Amino acid sequence: MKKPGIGICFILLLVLYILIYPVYCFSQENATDEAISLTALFDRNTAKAGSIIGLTLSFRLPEGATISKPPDIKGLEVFTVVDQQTYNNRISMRLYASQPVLFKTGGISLSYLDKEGKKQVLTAAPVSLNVLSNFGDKPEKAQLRPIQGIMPTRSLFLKYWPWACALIVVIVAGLFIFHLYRKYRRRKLLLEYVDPPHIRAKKDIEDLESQRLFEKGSIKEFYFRFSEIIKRYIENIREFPAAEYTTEEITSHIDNEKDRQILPLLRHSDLVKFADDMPTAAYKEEEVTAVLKYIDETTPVYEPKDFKKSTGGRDK
Amino acid sequence: MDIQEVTLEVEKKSLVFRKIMAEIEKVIVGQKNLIEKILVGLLCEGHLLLEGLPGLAKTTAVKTLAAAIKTSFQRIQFTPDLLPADILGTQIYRPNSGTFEIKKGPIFHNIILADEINRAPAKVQSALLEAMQERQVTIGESTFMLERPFLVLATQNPIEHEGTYPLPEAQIDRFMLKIKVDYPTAAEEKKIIERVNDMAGENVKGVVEVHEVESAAKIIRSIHMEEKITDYIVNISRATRNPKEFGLDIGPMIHYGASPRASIWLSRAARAQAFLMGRGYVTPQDVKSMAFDVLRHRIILSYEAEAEGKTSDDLIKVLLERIEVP
Repeated sequence: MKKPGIGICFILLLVLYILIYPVYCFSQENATDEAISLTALFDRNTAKAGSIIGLTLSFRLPEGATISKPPDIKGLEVFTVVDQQTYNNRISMRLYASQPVLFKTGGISLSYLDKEGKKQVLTAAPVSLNVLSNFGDKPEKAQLRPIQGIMPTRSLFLKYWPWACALIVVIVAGLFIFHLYRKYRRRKLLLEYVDPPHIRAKKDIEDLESQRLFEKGSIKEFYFRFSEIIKRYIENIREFPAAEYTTEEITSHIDNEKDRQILPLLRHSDLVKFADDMPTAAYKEEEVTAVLKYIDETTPVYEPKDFKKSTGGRDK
Repeated sequence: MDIQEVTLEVEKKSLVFRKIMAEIEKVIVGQKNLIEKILVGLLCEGHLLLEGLPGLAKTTAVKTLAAAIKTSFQRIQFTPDLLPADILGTQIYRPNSGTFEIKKGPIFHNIILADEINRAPAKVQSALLEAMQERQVTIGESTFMLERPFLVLATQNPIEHEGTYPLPEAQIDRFMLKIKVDYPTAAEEKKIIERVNDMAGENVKGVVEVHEVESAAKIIRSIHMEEKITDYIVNISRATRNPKEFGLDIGPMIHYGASPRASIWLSRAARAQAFLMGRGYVTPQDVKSMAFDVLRHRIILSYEAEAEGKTSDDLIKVLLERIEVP
C-alpha cells in the first residue's frame, strides 16, 4: 500500500503556511508601525485658564534614532512649558494654560535624528483639551478689576468726570453767590457811608428823636444811643476809635477846644446811663441842640477825594 | 438804697481811704497804681500777686498800709526748705503739763506779705493758698478762723526762675489781681532819694480803724452796676475765650481764656474802683482800669504768642480797644 502521510503532511504544511504567513506579514507590518509612533495624552479633558496641565508624549523611535536634548517639540505654543522630564519612551510635561482656548493636538510633533543622522519628524494622533475661562460662560461680560501696572486701568478722569464737572459747577455757583453777596454788602455799606459824617450824625439824631424814646420813658436807652452817635461822629472826624473808648479816654485824646465842649455832655450821658440820672425834657432838648451845634462847628471840610479819610479809615 | 444815697455814703466812706492813701504817700513816692490796687484788694477781700523786680517798694508799701489801718503785718520769706507748719503753726508738747500746746504760725496776722512765693515747694504754696481761700486754719484737731481783714500779698520775681516752683494756673487763679510793679519815673526816683535822706519814711501813723475798713468793704456790694456794664464785663471775659466771636484775630495767641471767676472779680474790682473814685455807680472806665490786673494772670498764652514775644497785657489791650464800650 502507498503511504499517504507525506502528501497529507505537505498539504497541512501548505495550509498552515497560507494561514500563518498573512498573520506574520501583518504582525511584521505592525511591528514596524509601533516602532515609530508618537502619542499625546493630557491628564484631563478640560482645565481652567491659569491652571497647570500634565501632558505625556509617548514615542517609539526607529532603531538607532535619537531625540535632541532638550527635545524639539512643536505645536504647544499656546501653552507655557513649566517643566519637562524626558524618559526612555516618553516625555512628561507640565504646561501652564494661560488662555481660554479649545486646544486640538493635531499639530504636536517631535523631531528626532535617525541612525543616519537625518532629521525626521513624528506627529501625534489628535487629542483635545478645552481650556475654560475663569469668568464663567460669558467671559466677555466679566468686570475686570484694574490693577495698576498689570491690567489696564480706566482713566480716573473718565471714571469721575461727571462728578468733577458737578463739583466745578457747585464751586462756581458758590463763588458767584459769594461775589453777589459781597457786592450787595459793599453797596449797602456804600449807601451807609454815602453821607459825610456830619450829615449822617444829624440824620441819626433825627431818627432817634423821631422814635420818641425819651418821651416814652426809655431815657437810658435814648442816652445810650445818643452818646453812641456822638462817639461815632468823633471817631469819624478825629483819628481815634472813640466808640471803643470811655469818656475818660476820649477826654485824654481830645486836643481841640471845640471838642472839649462835648465832654460835659458825654459825662452827663454817663450819669444817665450808669447812675440812673433823670434829666428833664427841656434839659435833653438843650443837649440835643448843643450836639447839633457842635456838629455844625466841627463839620469837616474836605474835597470829595478825601472822603474816605473822614470815615476815620475804619472798614465797617 | 438808691444810687444817690449810695453815692453819698460812698463819698463819705471813701474819705477814709483817701486818708490811707495820703498816709502811704508820705512814705512811698509814686507807685500810685500799686497803692490803689492794694486798697482794691483790701475792699474786695481779694488776695494780690505782686510782680516786680526787687527794690521797688513792694514790702514797704504793704508794711505802711498795715500801719495806716492799725492792723498786724507779717512778712514771710519763702524758701525751698520752708514747711507748711512754718506758716500755719504746729502743736508743741509740754512735758511739764503733759499736753500739746498750739503754736500759731505767722499766717495769723491781718496782712501777710508772702515774699517770693515761688521759691517754696508746692506743699507750702498749697497750704498758704488753702488758708487764703478758706480763711481758716486747722492745726491738729482745732480749726481757727483768720481775723478780718485778711489780705495776702504774694510777690514773684519776674527774673531768676532757676530753682523756683512756679505757681500752677489753678492756684494763680485764686489771686484776685496780679499787679505789675514798675520802676518809678526819674522825678519820683529823685524824690525817693531826698525822702530817704530826710528819714521821713518812719512817720507812718495809724489813721483808720479796722472797723472803718470793714464798713467800707460792706458798701461795695451796694454800688450800682448797670446791666450794660455787666454785659461789657462778660464780653471781655468771653472775648478771651473766643476772640473770633468778637471779630478778633488773636485766637491762636491764647491757649486758655479767663474763667468766669475772672468776670466775678472784675465786677467786684470795678465796684471797688468806683468806690475809691467816690462814686456810687460803676462806669466802663472802672472796668477798663481793672481789666489788666484781673485778667493778666488768667490768660494762658499759647506757644505761638510766646514765640512772638507777646504778653497777656498786649492781648488785653487789643481786647479792650476792640470791644465796644457801652
